[in-house]
Amino acid sequence: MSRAFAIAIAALLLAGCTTIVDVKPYKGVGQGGIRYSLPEPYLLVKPKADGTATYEWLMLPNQENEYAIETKSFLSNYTLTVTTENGFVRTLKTTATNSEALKKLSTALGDVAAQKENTKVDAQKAADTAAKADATSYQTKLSDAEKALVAAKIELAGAKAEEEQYNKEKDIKPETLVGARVNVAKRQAVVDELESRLQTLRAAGGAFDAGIAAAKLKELPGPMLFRLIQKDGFVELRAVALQVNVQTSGTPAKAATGDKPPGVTLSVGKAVTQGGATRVEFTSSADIAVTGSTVIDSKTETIKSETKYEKGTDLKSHVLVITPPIAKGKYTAQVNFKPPAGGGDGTGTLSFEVP
Amino acid sequence: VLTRTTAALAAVLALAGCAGTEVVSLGDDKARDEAARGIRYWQPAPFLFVRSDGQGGIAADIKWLPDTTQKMSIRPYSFAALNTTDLVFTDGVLTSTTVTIDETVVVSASIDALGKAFTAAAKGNLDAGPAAAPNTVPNPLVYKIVIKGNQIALIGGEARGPDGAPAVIYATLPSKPVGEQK
Repeated sequence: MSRAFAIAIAALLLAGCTTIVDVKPYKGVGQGGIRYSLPEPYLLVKPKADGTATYEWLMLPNQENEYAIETKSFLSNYTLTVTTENGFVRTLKTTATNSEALKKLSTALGDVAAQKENTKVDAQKAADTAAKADATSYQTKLSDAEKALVAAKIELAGAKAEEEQYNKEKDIKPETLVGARVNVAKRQAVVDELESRLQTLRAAGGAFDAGIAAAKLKELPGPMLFRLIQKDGFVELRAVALQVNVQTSGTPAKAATGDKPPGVTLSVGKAVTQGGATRVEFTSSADIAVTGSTVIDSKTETIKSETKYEKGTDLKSHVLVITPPIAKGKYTAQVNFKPPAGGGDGTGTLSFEVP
Repeated sequence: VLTRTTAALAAVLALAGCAGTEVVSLGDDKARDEAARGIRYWQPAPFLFVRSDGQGGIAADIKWLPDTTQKMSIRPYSFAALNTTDLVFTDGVLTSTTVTIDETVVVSASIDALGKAFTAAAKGNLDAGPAAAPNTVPNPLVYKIVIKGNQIALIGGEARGPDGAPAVIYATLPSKPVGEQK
């Protein structure tokens, strides 16, 4: 044994002497150490316009439970690594790990604080984009309808001129004159139909204008944040603040797509002419509300008679009433309908024969 | 003599070298919190979380949340010895460690089973409450499951507004602007 050996032993011992951590409540500026907070549970309730809500538990820091970690070591090679996440201690170990400090915290807090500002900007952008897209689509349809009507009117004028010319000719064949008159009638029918469609489209333009207004920013109740308060023998979810309105825009997805009746089929019953009208009974495979129809004959001509609908014993039974009655023959009706509670349009075809 | 003494002392000290982890329960005692020197964390506690499922029924499940009345302190130490301690915390709760902190085994499965039974009771409370206005969301309910001996208690109830009255959560605009409701 020598003195050198003794010193070496003592040095080895000193090298191992260490206190790993010393954690004290954080008192304020000037206190050293790695700061972290203990989390407190909160419940974030985000209501939706359909009357439901989403619920999310968040862990937010509480300054009343903030601490500072100091390492105290003496001649030690001990390595302390503290990883924090959202201001909370995530890991305390001897090797380094990844850290996502504050990243998720901002996300969580953003649901409450940043949402107001972000939503305003995003909502206005969405409103502008939607309104622009709708305007483009509407203007295109309107322009196409107007062009089609002009073309039809030109053809009608030509047909009328032809008929007038035939009327002046004394030795014209009767079938030629009838053909000219039929042609005028057909052209007139096309013009009437296009004018009707254009009128509908322009009427929808009013709704479109209203839609533009509706597409602009609206307000809906914003999220509510509840703090889970715990005391001895007492637990309560207490709202942090009153619910505030948050701006929004756009059309709810449900209203935009509609509840189109899936796979509704129509089945023809009997068709009879009596009492000054032709009545065609038919049924649907699901409840529907008929909104209109177009009836064409075997020559694909649209009939001139007025069509309306009578409800049957239930929402699956219907009667197509054609006044005045139509002649014997085969016909096809295109029936437009909606779900009884409203929603997207549906169409179906009925083929029937009037005896 | 000196050399022999030093060597012996060194040997004794080396043998006496120790390391470990000190875990102290602080509860919600501020004085003990001030005196503690370890990493603070919460003990977890089971809660029954009940809310509307938006389809005419209710949804309920057990949530393990920090028990903010049960603060803990954990402090690894070493003296003349090597101490490698890994501690992993999730949401302020110690979830992983290389040392054994508590021999108590919490049987999560049992708690989950209890939750199913409690759900029925909670549903009664949800149904018994005043009918929600058409433009509001039904209030969620939270209960802390407290087990003491053979007794099990649910402590809590429906969410409250800032004023302490039952909360009103609007889904669509009420007749009065939000913020003015009472």
